[in-house]
Amino acid sequence: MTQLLFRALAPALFGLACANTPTEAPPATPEAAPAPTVTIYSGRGESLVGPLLEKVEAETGVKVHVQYGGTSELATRLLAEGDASPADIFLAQDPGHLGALADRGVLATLPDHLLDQVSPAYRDDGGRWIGTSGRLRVLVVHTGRVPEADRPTRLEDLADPKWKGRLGWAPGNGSFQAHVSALRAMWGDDKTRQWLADVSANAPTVYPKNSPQVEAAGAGAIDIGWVNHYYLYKFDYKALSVENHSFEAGNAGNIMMLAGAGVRAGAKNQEAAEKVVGFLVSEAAQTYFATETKEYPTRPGVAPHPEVPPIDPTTVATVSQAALTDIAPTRAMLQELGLQ
Amino acid sequence: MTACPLRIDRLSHAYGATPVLHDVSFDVQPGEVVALLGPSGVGKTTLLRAIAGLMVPDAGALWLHGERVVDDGRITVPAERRRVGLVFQDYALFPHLDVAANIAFGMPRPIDAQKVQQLLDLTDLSGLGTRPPHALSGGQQQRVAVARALAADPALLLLDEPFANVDPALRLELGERLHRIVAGSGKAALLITHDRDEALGLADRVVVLTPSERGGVVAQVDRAETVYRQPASGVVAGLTGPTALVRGRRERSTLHTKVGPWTLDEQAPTTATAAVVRPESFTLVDGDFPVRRVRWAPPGWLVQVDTPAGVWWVATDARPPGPTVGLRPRGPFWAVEAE
Amino acid sequence: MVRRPPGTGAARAGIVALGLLVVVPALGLLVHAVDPPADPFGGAPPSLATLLMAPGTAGLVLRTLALAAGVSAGSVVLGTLLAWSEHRLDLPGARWLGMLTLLPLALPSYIVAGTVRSAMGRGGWLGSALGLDGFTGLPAAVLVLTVATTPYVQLVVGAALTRIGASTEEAARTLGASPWRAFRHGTLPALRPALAYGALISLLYAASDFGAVAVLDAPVLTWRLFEAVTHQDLARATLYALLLLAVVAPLYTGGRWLRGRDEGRGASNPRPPDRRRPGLLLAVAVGLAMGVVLGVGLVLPVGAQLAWVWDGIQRNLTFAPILEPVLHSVGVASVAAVLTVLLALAPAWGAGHERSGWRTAGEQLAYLPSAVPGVLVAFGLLLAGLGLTRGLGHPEHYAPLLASGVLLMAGLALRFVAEAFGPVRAAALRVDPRLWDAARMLGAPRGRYLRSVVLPGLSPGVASAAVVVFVAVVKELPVTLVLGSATGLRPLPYRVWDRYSEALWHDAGLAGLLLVAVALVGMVLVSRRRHT
Repeated sequence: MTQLLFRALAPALFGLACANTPTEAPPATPEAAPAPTVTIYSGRGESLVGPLLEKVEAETGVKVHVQYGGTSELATRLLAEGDASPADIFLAQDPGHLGALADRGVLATLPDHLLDQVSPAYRDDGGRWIGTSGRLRVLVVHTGRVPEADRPTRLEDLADPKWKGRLGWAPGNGSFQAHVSALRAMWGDDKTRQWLADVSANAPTVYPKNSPQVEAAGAGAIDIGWVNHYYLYKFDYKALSVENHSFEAGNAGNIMMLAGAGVRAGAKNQEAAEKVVGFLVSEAAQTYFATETKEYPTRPGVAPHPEVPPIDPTTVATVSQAALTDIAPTRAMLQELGLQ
Repeated sequence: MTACPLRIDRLSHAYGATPVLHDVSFDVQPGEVVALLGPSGVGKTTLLRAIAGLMVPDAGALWLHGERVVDDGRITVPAERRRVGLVFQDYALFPHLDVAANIAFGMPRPIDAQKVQQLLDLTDLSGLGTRPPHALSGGQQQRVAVARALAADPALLLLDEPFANVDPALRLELGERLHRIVAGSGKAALLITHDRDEALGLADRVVVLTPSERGGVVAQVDRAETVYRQPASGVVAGLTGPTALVRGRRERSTLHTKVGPWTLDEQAPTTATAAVVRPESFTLVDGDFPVRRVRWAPPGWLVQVDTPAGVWWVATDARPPGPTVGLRPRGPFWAVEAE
Repeated sequence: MVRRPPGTGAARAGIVALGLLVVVPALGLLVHAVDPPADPFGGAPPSLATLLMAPGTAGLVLRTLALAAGVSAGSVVLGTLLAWSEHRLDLPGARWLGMLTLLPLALPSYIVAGTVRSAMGRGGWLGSALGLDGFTGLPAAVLVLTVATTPYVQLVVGAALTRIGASTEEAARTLGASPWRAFRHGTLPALRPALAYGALISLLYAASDFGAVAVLDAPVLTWRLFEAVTHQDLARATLYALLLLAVVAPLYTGGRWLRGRDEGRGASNPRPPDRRRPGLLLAVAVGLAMGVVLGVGLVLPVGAQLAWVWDGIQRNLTFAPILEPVLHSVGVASVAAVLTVLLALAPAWGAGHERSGWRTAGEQLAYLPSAVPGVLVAFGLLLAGLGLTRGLGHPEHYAPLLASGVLLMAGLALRFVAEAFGPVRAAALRVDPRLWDAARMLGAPRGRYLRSVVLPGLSPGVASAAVVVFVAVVKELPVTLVLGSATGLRPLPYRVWDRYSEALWHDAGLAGLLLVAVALVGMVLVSRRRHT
């Protein structure tokens, strides 16, 4: 959606220069030769991953040049550019596009030693992409106006007319669309369509992104928003009287969505690219995701931030990340319902 | 007795700091056609608009048909309710309505088609009822404007320079028609003009407005003949016809001028020391005054004579025989105060 | 053989260049209409016909038309009331208020929309005070755009009122007509062309607007077009672009036709009518009109933004550095102003010095792009860039093309060449072509003629045009978003837009206030020039 254009491309002149500079050949001895450069197409926002990516050169010796943009826009571009693409790494906000690109042979298979650094559930079955952090879909609720007893225990409950005029959502957001793809996989198209129509009848306030929903819940514009868990921590949530709420165990509302990375199959410097991806799942980077962006690390042994409730695996709904790949019918359904 | 169609008492108005009218008072009797004569800018149009109700004069009172409509800066009867018909200088016909609809505009509903036809005939517009205004000549448009004003059955008809765009030949006839309409119905008409022939020829009485530092003031209100023959001041004399003012030393009823002693009219004011000389004041005799120019002005001639007291045009039947002439007064002169 | 005056060759070349520039986005759109690009993740794109028949499409077009109609009706009523009070009524301070109600012209529609959404959306202070539950979307967009277009109608109707004398209305009054009947027959018939023209430009403005409908999330064509572009759904975007063009084109043609008719009317030198005191009903109506236009169009946006900034200071919130957006805005606007004025010089010169064929072509080309909504121009250029790079076999050059800013500048120049054209043309018309003959006879070389005659003659117009374009570019949103984000430039409208979506009101308020300040200063500069 409009995320695309906020997270847009290329800062500067130096970026432009780098884009068309051919990467140097890997040196015989790392100390003597100049540092290799890789280009990352990042669908994740600059404010979220920028600080981490700045550390890449120090940690790996590889220079990175990042082009920010929307996940779907960058994915489309990768496909269009084909072999001539300057991108070496694709960093995506949701696994849907990673899977789609993988299926079209755009992404290279990653080496096992890299893949093994994360739990099997957090990577592509075919080994073509790896999850860098997890995000939980939750409801953000106002503690005063939505006491414990009232809160929906299942995602289906949002269709109840009692929520009319009290909901917020962001149908243009990538995570929203990925979640709807998951619902289609778990409930089937008909139930998903019906649910979307019913919730839509409750006239939810439409937001362009997730963070305004947290603030809106605090301000009283809405009582419940449908967001990713980590947006809560961007605000002084205690002062706003808002908190995250998960559904009952195994419900389709509790979806863990992975952000991930893959290496382009024709990248000139596969080794350097793999190094960078390796950094993203290293302890240092995973700690960053845990403490700075308050996401769930994919690397076992790295705990999430103390403020963030730990994940009980039984509460999360089972859906293969591949199910989140199927974006086109999701988009068609949303358009049909007038949500886009 | 029918109430007086119009009575104005001490009407004054200023546009911001500029005074326009000062203490204007006169009336219009039933059946009369009154002309408001004066130079451009003296306030005639302002006066007309005040009577019509289109503006409020700062001071003074206005009665229409005995009803007080303006009282010292306040309108008591608005324009829509005054029985006054105004014929605008630019006619102001409604361009989107045809002639008949224009005429019928001020008539009560349901519209009396016969009356509309009568008015069309009266103003010589029969057969043009369905034409749009832009398809008519200037004179025809003017007649539509008159017919439209009459259709609303006003007690007083106001006309702003009504014959300015009309052929001179037609002017006379239209003037006659106006008299007939007005006299026979007990209405009255007040017309503005700066054309003295129009004023003197058409009107029963003339109100002469002259400029002053305090705005336009009424210099004289009289029958047309009186205003012409016995003007109240030199300015009025100038407004009513070609004039020369000749000063001299007053000795009872004789004025000693550079051309000789002239007898003054007994009714002229005793303080008046300027004789009013018009082209018809003299006959030509033998004499020494040089003739400057001779002009054919049917049915006679106008001769420009150079005298010690000034250069004057003199009207005569026959061409002067020689290069010099003498002047003999035809009768006593009217005199005004010298300024 | 008559030697043409200097600059003719350059002027003609410039007109041709302008023509090419106008054609590029149109071609881009056309090519993709015929051969829609595929969504690689969605398989074969639906044909435009299929998309056209889809259930949502008709509703989208109808809502766009409804928006335009509502705005048009509202602005004609409000604008006529305000023009009437400015020119014909005897109200204390009427003339000052009349000028004040033109100030909302300076405020971009998306800023007004942002403050309206915050104040009248759910939980907003004004909404709660008025008893509204979530006033946003299409009705709110109608309000915001009505307030935005009312000043235009006020200007058009006001100009007509000064040309229409009072005598027919006074004639009606002396014939016993009530004030309303006197207006209906006396003034209204002559006012009709101006009213129609005002209604039409409001329709066009509302159908083309992007900022307000986007911020308020009104489901109309421009917003959905933008969303489709950002989702890479280019087939759908192409369809919406074509539909938008179909809505806007007849409005533009109608407007040009009516403009010709409106300027012809009017008596020569009519006497200015006396001002009258209004009746109670009219006074109340005028008061309400002023209240709505000034309240929603000036007081709310400025006041709310000040409140946001103040609130941010009070709560010790971090303000994102504002210097970068300001510099980016100034930089982009300066370059765009220079380019646009240069582009406008050719048809402007042609207006005074060319034969009718070239002259007409130049004028039509200069005015045409202004009719096209900004988001459509931007999208057309985007498609043209895409088509060009793919067609030439180098799709990897598409991103660098976007990043270079060439398309951004092209889009801004197209968008505002019409605004530059007016002042430059007026100046060019004042340069007497016979001076060239005189100069030749005196043996003056071309260069000297251009330097000492043409340049001084043109410079006031050029300066005015530059200011107008500068301010317009500083405020411009859709072209900045669609074509500018890839360049990495983050001018002020971008900052406002981004902060609205994140609900970071204090930052949005700061950027917005700077924008409004620039616009107001520009407005004052240009109007003072017009009076000297």
